[in-house]
Amino acid sequence: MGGQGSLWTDKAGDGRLIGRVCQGDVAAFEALCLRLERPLFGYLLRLVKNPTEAEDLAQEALFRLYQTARDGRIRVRKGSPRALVFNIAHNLAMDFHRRTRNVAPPVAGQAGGAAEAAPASAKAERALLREQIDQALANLPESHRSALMLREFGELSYADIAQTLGVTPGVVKTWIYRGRRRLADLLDRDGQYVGERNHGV
Amino acid sequence: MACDFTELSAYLDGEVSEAQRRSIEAHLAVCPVCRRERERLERSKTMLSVPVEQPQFHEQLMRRIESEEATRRSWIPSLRWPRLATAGAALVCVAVALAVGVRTYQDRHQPPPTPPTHLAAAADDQEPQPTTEPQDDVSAVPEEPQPAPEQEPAPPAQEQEPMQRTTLPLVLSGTVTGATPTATITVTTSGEVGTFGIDDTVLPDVTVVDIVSRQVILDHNGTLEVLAMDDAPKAVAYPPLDGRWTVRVTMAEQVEEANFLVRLSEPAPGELVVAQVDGPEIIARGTLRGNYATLRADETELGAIEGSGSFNDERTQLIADAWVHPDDPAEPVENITLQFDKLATVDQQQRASLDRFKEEVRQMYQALAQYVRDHECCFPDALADLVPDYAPSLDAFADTDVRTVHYVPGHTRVMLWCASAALPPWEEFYPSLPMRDRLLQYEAALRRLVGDALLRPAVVLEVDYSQPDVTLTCNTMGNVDIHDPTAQAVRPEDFADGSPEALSRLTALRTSCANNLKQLGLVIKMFENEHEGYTPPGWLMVYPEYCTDPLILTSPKDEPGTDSYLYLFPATNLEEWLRESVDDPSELDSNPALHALVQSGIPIALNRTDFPGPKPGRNVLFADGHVEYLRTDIPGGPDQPDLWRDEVLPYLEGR
Repeated sequence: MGGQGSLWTDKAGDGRLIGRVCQGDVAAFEALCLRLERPLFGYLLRLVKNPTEAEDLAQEALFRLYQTARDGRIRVRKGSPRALVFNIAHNLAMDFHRRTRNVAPPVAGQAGGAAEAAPASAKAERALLREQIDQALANLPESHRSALMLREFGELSYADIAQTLGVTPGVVKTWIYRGRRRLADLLDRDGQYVGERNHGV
Repeated sequence: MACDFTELSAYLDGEVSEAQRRSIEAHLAVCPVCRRERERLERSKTMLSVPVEQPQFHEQLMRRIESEEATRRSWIPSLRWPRLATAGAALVCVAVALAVGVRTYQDRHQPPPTPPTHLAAAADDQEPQPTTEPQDDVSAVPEEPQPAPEQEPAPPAQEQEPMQRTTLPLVLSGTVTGATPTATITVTTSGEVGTFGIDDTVLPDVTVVDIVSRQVILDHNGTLEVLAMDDAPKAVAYPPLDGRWTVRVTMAEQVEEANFLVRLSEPAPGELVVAQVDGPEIIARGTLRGNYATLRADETELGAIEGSGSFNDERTQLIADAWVHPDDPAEPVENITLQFDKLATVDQQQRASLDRFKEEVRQMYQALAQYVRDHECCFPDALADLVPDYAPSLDAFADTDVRTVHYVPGHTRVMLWCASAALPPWEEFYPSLPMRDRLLQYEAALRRLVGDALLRPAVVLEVDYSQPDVTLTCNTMGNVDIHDPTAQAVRPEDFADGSPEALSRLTALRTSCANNLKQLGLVIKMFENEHEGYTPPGWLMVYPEYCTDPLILTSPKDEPGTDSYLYLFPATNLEEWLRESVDDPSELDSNPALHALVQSGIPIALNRTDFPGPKPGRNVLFADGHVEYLRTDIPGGPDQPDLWRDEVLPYLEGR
C-alpha cells in the first residue's frame, strides 16, 4: 500500500485530513495512515526493538488517534495529529517497557528482536547498522535523542516535536543540532560506532 | 552572517524561512567552516536514514476501523468520500459519471454504501447525481461554515460533534480517460475542499486540487491531469525563482529579448514581481501558485500585457501565453508568447556593480586599443603608460570595486585580472556546464601563461583584441575577495613618520592579518578533529580540503606568495602535549577553566617578522583560537610580566 508513503512531506495536509476524520471520513483516515504508518513504525522500532511489537504498537496508536478524533476530542486547528499520534505512540512504548521489565530500556544498544527475523542478508546488514546507530544514540542525552528520533524517524516538523516534547521550537532546534553533532562524532563514515574520541584542544 | 551551526542544522531540515535559507546559502558559499559543519551534519542525517521496511498492519488496521465505524454509524449519520482507486485497464477510456459526495443529512436513513474500490464499480453502484452549480467563490475558507444551498438542509443544531461541519455538497461527476498512473479526469464539482497538497494543474480555472493517495477533489470546472494517482503523491519542493532572467517575446513577426529580474515575495503562493532591467523599465506583477504563474504589466510600450503560464519543475523556465491590449482601443488585441529563461540568481545590487565593473573594463580596453593602434601593435609595459595620453589617470579604472588589475602583454588577447568584492561567485553567473568547462580550460591556459603565482581568486576579464567589446569570464576560484594591492609589501619607512593615515593603514593591515590567523586556527581545529587530535604537518597539507583560500597564508604586510606565518606545532597532539607538560594532568580534567587558561597561553602560529611602526609586534594565534597582537619591544620593561617574552619567546628559542 502506498509504497513511497514517507515521501509525502506536506504536513499541512494532516490537519485537514484529521478534520475530515472527525466527521467520520474513513478514506481520509486511510490517507492519513498512509502518511503516518512508516514513520511511526520506524520510530517505534527504535524504541521497542522488536518489529512485531512495533507494528502492534503503531497500529494501536493509529487506532487510538482515530477513536480520539471520532469522539471529538481533537481540536483540529490546535496542534497537529502527527504530534498527537507520536505522543500516543511514545506513551504506548513506555507502557510496553513497563510491562516487560526484562527488556532493556529504550535505546540501550541491544539489537533484541531486530535481528531475530532477519533471514535476508540485506535485512541482517540493516539490523547490524541499526545496532551501531542505536549504540551511538544511547550515548545522547534523553532530550536530544527524543528530538532527533522524532525528527529523523518520525519525520515530524520542529513545531510538532516541540508540541510532543512540551518545549519551544527553539529548544528543539538546539537539541537536534547537538544530538546530530554528537552522533557524527560517535560514528565513523561507515556508520561504525567508534565511541568517544579525543577532540584535541 | 555569523556562523550559527544550529541554524545550519535547521536549514538541512528545511525548517528555516526563505530569507534565512538564502542568507545561509550565501554564507555557506564563502565560509569553509560552515561547509565542513554541514558535511558533518549531513553525514549524521544520512546514517540515521537507514530504510525502514514498510509495516504490514495497514489492512488489519483498516478492518478494525471499518468495524469500529460500523458500530458508530449505527447511531451517527456520517459522511462518505469518494475513493478513486486504480482500475488499471478499466480506466482506459471509460466514461464514468461519478456521483460521490458528502452525504447530507437527507441520506441518513439510507444504509451507508460500501466504499467503491474501483471506478467501474463506482459507476455501476451509484447513479450519477445531478451536478450542482459550481461555486464561483473558489477562495472559500474550508473552516468557515458555508451557507447551505437551498436543496440541502443545514445540519441539525443538536449535532453532537464539536467540530464545525461544512454542509456544502460535494458532487463530482465527469469522465476518466487514460491508463494509470496517468489519467485525465474531467470533472464538474462544487463543495468544501481543502487547499492542501499539490497544484499540478495547468489550467487557470481549476484552483484547488487535493490529491491524497487515491482521491481527487476539485472545486471548480476544469480538466485536471493527475499523475501517479495510485501511488502516494510526490512531494514537490520548488526551487527559488529569484534571480536574473531573460525573456523572449515572440510576437506575430518578430522576436524580442530583454533581461528581467524576478522576485518572489514569500511565503508562496505569493506575489511574483518581474522588472525589466535593460531598456525602458517595465514592472509586471502577478501571483504564483505551485508552478503556475499569472503576470500583468500595465504600462509598456506596447500597451497593457497580461498573461499566464507554467514554470517547469526546475523553475528555470516559464512559458506563458499573453495578450497585449494596445492603448488605442481601435487596434486589435495581439497574442504573444513569453518565454522566461533563468540565467542566474543575482540581486539587483550585484547586477549594478557588475555593470559598473564591466564599464570600467570597457574603458580600459578602449584606452589599450588606442595605445596599441598608435604603437604598431605594441602593448604598454604597464598600465601607467596609458597616462596621460590615453587615459586621464588610472583612477578611471579604479572604481572602489576594482581591487587589482593585471594584464599580460604579448598576446593577441589582453587578459586582465580584475576583482570586485561586490560580485558573487562565478558559478552564480554561469550555472551551465559548457561555461564551466570553458572556464576550467581557461584557467589551465592561464596557469601555463603566468604560473600559479598570479592566479588569484578574482574575476578574470578577457578582452578580445579583435573585437570592440569586452567578454567577461571568471576564474574557477570562485572567491572574489582580494587584498588591496596598495597594502601589499609594506616598507617600514612608510610608517616611520607616524602620521594618522599611516597608522590607520597599519591598523587595517594588522586586523586583516589577525583574521588570516584566526581562520588558520579554525583550519587547524578542523584538521585535528579528523586526525585523532593531531595538528596538520604543515600549511600545505591543509589545502584545499580544510583551507580553500591559500591566500590567507600570506599576511597583507608581506610580498604576495610569502609564507608569512611561523607554525610552531606541526603534527602534534596538543592535548597530549599539554598533559605531559603540566605537573598534574588530573587537575586539567577537574578544572575546565584551568584547561582553557593553559590553552590560551600556547602560541600556535605567528608572524615571521614584526609589523613596522612605532609599536612593533606580531600577531600570535593561541591554542584556544584567539589571536593577539603582541608587542615585541617589551614596553613594560624587563621587570614587568610580558606575554611576548614569557609565553611566546621560549617557543621561538632554538629555532
